[in-house]
Amino acid sequence: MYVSAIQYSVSTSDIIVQAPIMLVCLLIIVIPTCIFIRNDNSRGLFNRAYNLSEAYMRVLAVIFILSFIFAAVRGISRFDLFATSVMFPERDITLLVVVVIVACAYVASLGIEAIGRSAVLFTVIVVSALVFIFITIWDNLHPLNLTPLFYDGAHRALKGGITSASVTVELGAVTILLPKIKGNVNKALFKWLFLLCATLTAVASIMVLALGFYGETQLFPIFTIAVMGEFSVFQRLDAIQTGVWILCIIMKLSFLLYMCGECFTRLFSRGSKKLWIYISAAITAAFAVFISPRMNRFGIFAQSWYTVIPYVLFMITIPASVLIGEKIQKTKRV
Amino acid sequence: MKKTPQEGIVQCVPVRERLQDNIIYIRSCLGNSFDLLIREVELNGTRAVFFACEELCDAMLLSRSVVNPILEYCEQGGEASAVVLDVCESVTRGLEHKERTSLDDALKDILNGYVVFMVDGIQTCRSYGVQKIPTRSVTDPDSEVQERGSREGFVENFKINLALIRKRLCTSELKTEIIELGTTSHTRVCICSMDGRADTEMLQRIKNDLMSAELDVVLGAGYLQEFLDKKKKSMFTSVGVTQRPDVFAAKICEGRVGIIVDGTPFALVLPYLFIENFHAMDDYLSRTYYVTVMRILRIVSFLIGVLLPGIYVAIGLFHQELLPDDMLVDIVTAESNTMFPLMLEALIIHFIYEIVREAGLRMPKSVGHAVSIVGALVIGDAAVSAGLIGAPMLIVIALTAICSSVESSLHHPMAVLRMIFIILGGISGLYGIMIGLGLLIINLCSIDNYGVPYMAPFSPFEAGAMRDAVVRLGWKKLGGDIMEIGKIRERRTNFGGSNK
Repeated sequence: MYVSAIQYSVSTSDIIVQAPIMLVCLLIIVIPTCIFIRNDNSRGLFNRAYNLSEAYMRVLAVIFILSFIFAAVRGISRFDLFATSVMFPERDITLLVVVVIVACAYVASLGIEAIGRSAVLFTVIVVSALVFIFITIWDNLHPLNLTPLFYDGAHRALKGGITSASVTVELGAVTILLPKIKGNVNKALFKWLFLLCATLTAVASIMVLALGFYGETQLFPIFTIAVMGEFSVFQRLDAIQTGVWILCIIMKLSFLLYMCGECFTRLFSRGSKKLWIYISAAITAAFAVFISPRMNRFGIFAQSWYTVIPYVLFMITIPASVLIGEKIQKTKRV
Repeated sequence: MKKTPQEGIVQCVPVRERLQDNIIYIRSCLGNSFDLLIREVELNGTRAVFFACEELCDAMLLSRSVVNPILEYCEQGGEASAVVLDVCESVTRGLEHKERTSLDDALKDILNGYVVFMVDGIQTCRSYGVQKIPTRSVTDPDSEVQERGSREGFVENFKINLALIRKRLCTSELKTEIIELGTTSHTRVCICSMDGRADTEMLQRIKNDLMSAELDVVLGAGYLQEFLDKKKKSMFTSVGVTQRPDVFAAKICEGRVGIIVDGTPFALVLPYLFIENFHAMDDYLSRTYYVTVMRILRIVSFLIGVLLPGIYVAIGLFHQELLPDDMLVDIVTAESNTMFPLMLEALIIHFIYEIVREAGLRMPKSVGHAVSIVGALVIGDAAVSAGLIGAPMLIVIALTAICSSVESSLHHPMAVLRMIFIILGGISGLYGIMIGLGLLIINLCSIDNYGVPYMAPFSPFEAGAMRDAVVRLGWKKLGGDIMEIGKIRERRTNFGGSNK
């Protein structure tokens, strides 16, 4: 078994605590959003920003469009990387990537209600598939793979946790979609964060228990676990894992494209949302096609440290600035 | 002047004072129809006439209850005009009768099997219900066969169908409304609902959609289905079809709206949920543990019916590593003797199966069986022996065919989806199938008919309705309401219905 010398000295079990660290980070980041929702949950971010200044609303729309397209490209390039390295190693899968983006644009054009409803069913399918795979590899889980926590210091776990937190760009969408959401949004948000943390912790634990140090050398460790799975006549279950991963990609990309459509409509105040969704899809596809031929280009969109600061600023500053603006406006009126 | 949505503005011709003018008008409208009966009589010196469609009337009833009493009344010195003017109710007692002032209404009555009585000098006429519309008797429904349920099925006559519903729902809450659709056929369509249970806004929207259906003729419930289906770009329909009055009654008790179309034994129920395709009337008459198992079995059958050939092709072409060596060797040995690639083989065999099925369905029953046997032999033994298809593929298609017969209501989408999944599996393996499956789920989730999501109670989740979705709880726990559509409609999604 090949183990990278660079990775060897690092404590593998630190990955397990990354999710709780991520949760703590997100709980801090999400505070302005919660206050924003609590303040007024009937109007969305754009409406409230428009009340302050139309130009400000447009600036926010541009920021959101860029961030959603960035997230969409990151998602699709990761899918591209996976497809070229695991699914079809010797083929050019640009066409498949474009097909997936077109499919996602169609899904996005069906509206947020369809995306929301499908997401519920997809979550059930994904969780069931993961649980099934984990059950099938139960015999391959070895407690000896657990290493002492923070063996080489806590900095790596902290860095990993904070970086993971910066991936959840969807949090920003909550404030935009606010008028379309019924019920207690804050409660749902916290439930989602805790469930996300629990799921990631469970997945990381299984990953460490099953793969140990070997997992560190894998680009897609869950895929490696699925390869180890065996059920009845089926000797490996990687196809199931890949399948559910594709479902997740479709869902995530559709949502991001829908959000781009929503922001574009606000930015230009004309043109149908469907048109903007397809334009966003075309932009995403163009980036994906640009990235696809060169391996080093994938690195630009990788989950990395440099995305954290803009993300934190973006998540905290935007709702906070609207809240402050409203406060000032109110004071002036009085 | 009368205005109807189908016809626009229609001129109503009034009954003229001169009888001859009325006769000429009706003759001109009906031409030389051989079944038009015009019987002129003279009653105490006054000319009168009976109009009827001979084949639609009960001749005995016509003569005993209408013609004879009127003739006798006039022979005893009564005035013919008095009969028309309703002075003498007793003349034609016990019969359904209507007063008509318009010749168009009178004409419509004639075509509906009424006998119309006109008297010279009177600007009104009378229609008597003596219909004898040819109809078949109530028999076992052949499309929804049940083990323990009622043996009565809908027939073509909507009045009989309505009676079958009334028999089951003996309550004043059951409301019916009749509208006429089709500019030429004037087909009567009966909208049934339960007062207080069906949402009034939904009921009104359904009525409006029906009224706005621009159709020349309505010869079956399927004509209207398209106008009621909100999601056009989907293979699945959110308008249920049933041939059973018990199912129809149960559905409208859940707050749905039922539509009975004259001339067809199939009634429509809406809104309809995806999970209801896997429900049967027998489910409510059997023990709960068995029902739950059967429902799971039906869902699995649906999945096998749609996905199995595609998965087989995908594994055979792209994911051989999933199977153990022995099994793989057997499959490869069988398939290496065939002349077609795996995907094409699956498509061809599936295509042949659909041809045999269609032939068996459309041919006369005696010939249909022969076609099925020949088809089975050709597809089966002969094709394998000739090396056209492999034995494992034959087993896969046979299993798929059986599974797709479990839910006949879903056969149409299943047949098409199966082909799509074979192509997806053949082009991009299991990944293509997953993309297809994902899109299918999203498409299903996007269907929303009259405010009720098609995938309820799963998404949006409705805990109350889950008592009778896959698992059916006992009657003691189900209580009065099984799956009240109103509750699902109220909850609807968390997205406030905004789909913009």
